[in-house]
Amino acid sequence: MTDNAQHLIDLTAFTADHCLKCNICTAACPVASITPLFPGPKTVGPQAQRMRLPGAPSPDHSIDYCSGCGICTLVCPHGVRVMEINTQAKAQMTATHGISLRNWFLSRNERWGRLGTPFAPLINFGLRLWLARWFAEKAVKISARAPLPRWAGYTFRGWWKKQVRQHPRPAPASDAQRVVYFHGCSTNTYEPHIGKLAVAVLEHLGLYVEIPPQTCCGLPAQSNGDFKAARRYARKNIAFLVDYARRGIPIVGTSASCMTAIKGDYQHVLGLDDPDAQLVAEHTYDFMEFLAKLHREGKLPTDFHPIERELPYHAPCQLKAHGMGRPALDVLDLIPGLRCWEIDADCCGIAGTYGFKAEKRAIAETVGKPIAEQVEAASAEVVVCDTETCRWQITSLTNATTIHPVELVAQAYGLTVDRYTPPVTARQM
Amino acid sequence: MTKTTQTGSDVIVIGAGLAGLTAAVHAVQTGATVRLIAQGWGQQIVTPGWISVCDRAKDDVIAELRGYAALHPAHPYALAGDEGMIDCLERFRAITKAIGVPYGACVKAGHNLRLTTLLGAIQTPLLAPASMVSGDLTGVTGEILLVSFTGWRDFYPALAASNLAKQGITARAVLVDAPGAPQAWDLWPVELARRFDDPALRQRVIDQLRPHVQNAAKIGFPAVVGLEQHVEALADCTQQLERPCFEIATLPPSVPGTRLSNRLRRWLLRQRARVQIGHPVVHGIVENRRCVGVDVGALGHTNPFYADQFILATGGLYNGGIQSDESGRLWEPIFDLPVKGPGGTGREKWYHANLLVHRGHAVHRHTGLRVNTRMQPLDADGAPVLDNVYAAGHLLTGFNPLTDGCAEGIALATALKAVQVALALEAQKSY
Ligand SMILES: Cc1cc2nc3c(=O)[nH]c(=O)nc-3n(C[C@H](O)[C@H](O)[C@H](O)COP(=O)(O)OP(=O)(O)OC[C@H]3O[C@@H](n4cnc5c(N)ncnc54)[C@H](O)[C@@H]3O)c2cc1C
Ligand code: SF4
Ligand code: SF4
Repeated sequence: MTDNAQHLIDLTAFTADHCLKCNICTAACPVASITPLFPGPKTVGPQAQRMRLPGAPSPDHSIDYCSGCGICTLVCPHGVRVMEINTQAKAQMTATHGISLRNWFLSRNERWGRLGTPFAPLINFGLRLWLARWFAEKAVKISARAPLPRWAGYTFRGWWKKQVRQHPRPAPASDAQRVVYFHGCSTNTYEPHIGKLAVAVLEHLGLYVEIPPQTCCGLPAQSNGDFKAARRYARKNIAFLVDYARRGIPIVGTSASCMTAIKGDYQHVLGLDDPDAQLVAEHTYDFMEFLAKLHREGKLPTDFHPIERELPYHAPCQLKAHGMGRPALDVLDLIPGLRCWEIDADCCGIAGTYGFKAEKRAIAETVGKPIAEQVEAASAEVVVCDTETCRWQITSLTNATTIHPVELVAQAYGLTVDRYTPPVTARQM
Repeated sequence: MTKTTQTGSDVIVIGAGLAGLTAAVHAVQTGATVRLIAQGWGQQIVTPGWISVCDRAKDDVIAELRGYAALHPAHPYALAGDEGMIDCLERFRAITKAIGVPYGACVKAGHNLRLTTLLGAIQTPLLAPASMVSGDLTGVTGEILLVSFTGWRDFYPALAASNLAKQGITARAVLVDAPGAPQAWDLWPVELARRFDDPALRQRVIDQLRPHVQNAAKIGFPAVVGLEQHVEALADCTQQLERPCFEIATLPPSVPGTRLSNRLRRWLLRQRARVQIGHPVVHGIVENRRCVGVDVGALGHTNPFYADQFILATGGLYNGGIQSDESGRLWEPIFDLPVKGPGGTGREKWYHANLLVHRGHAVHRHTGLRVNTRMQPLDADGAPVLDNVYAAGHLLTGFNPLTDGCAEGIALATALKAVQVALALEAQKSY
């Protein structure tokens, strides 16, 4: 077979041809089995694709109910990129019918995070008023039950700039000591402590951290079908990062879902099929994946202080898509006394922006139920999870505090940062 | 239990079919650290969910199998050894009981079950989910009531009843509204099963059925009676309708197969094993005839995973363990292990002219890996290719998984043998 023919077959739409119609994906789809509104991945994906030009609009609007969790792609034994096919079809629908105000709003989280920062106390207060939530549900169809983040009142980037100004660092001898940190929007404006801890850990490992300009990964726009905006974000990020990739400098990020976008979706969903996108993807690592890699190479100090805890861990659907296994568990297993176990759940239900939508909130809550049940059965007060929206969703489904694995790693190294209390020691059982 | 070391885990199992999942369970039970990696779920989600060991056996199944193995030393049963057969079946029953999807057998000890299909044909596996075992037709004299849902395309009980009648079994059909949806046209088995989990929706089915029970000795439902709460759901039907209720395998996706897969995954995770489903192993990292790791095809870049021992359970031609192309080439994609095929040039010897030929087509019987009694893949001269890679399940040559009625038995027996050799447990009979 010629390389060109192989390339065509590998293109997302053509993976539909590998579909045997076995319905394994239908059995696994967390949405299809709980709502009659969605007939399931095989039906709206490869089945709808089989007589359609790749990229032509799908006649089937039920695809709007696909959460984009990607479980279908994971369970398919034949390599069909079901979620990717569905997301592309969704984008065609948006291109034809336009984007709703609500979906546009949810796609521009990056903006609201930034613009809201100076008004954090007011917004945090206002958004928790019953009336405001009721109004948002009625007028914009954002669920009144959906978990909302808190604005930190300062940005991670602002903190970093000050940090670099106050403590100038000598440039490293070689690029091998450099690492790029991709913080994502949520760390920048809602959870700067995650970024600060990530930097503390990387510096503890003797690495010189670089934080180049960056924008939203584009995933919220992509999952709302706004490919134009998503590609704009993607191209900007690629331009910001490709130089580092070219120099072989790893790009690491603490939001597993942003990293999915950069590593995979830019190519397989958005169709940015150029060498720069590939180069950036090749050098991009999830934060915990990066630590696991250092460990495999014998470069991770394991002089961890013990943390005597047994904690449930949720692997977000978008983290499962990486194909990197569960690096958070592999690394946390190195901490003496710490016993983390993976909750058996495909998806927490939030799937990026899906669970924020009023008409989908009940579905999102049902999808996340197995997590709540297992956390409750274990009487766990803290849940570990690598992605922010999943953490918010898990907190709303359980009474547990949710933390990023970097918080445990930092604690075990004895590292801390300003304006932060380690939740695990704070909430001893 | 699972502890990352510099070299990785004790065992990597590749494949999430019956062979891979049970191999992972056995390995975890010995205290080994286990990582299971699979591109997707295995075929248990498109099959009935029962365990065929030797479907054609008329009386003692194990005796028949012993006789067969003695005559066919290259058959996977002969290679795995017959004492392993009994052991793996007992272990399978024990683990399925522990995870809440218990499997059972015929009341006539050692005999195959007699289970109806949705067409009213009788199939004869050795073990089946307890929900199906209660529909065993062995010695049944009374009338069977067969239940389906108005408008559902996947089961026409009147057809099954008429076919059963031809085999001397009295059956009567009834249609009721599906739980929670009067029009059931497009409902998938898993969707129906979730509705049966809901006591209120289930109650409506039970209430509709009550006047139809009459003289029925047993009541058969399609295998959609509950997903998470299936034991409770079936017990509820049995108790309220005052007849043994049972399940009949449906078209894919299989609810019993989904239940089994989900519960095994949950158990493995709770034992702190890693279960990574979603990406293919693309390459084995081999040094001096030893596999040290495997590369997983992932987003952005491949990811290596290291271990001491490797169980290859990637399935046969239909599951991706063996690949083929239009030229008739057959290959094993991870280690490029030698693949035995039907022979001849191109695909001339693959198929018989008669599609439904007795005992199937040559390509299905002969395609696969040759292994020794240690489950090690062999080269053309009969020597092991790699020291620490063991193969199990459909991947093996020497049987036809489509026609022989032994596919699940082979998966269980060879998976257990592979783990015992890999972890050097042959001597210790029980752990
Ligand atoms: C689940 C399922 C069950 C079915 N069951 C039955 C049944 O029981 N009985 C029955 O009679 N029929 C059945 N059918 C229908 C039957 O499969 C189709 O009618 C038949 O396959 C059509 O054959 P075809 O060659 O026209 O198209 P296909 O077999 O679908 O092949 C079309 C080919 O064209 C390729 N292609 C499409 N666009 C392009 C492009 N732009 N450039 C290059 N290549 C392209 C596709 O990738 C594909 O390889 C079933 C279909 C499905 C999905
Ligand atoms: S997409 Fe994959 S899992 Fe789904 S029906 Fe097709 S082959 Fe089966
Ligand atoms: S992406 Fe998730 S919700 Fe969408 S079809 Fe696939 S499994 Fe279902």
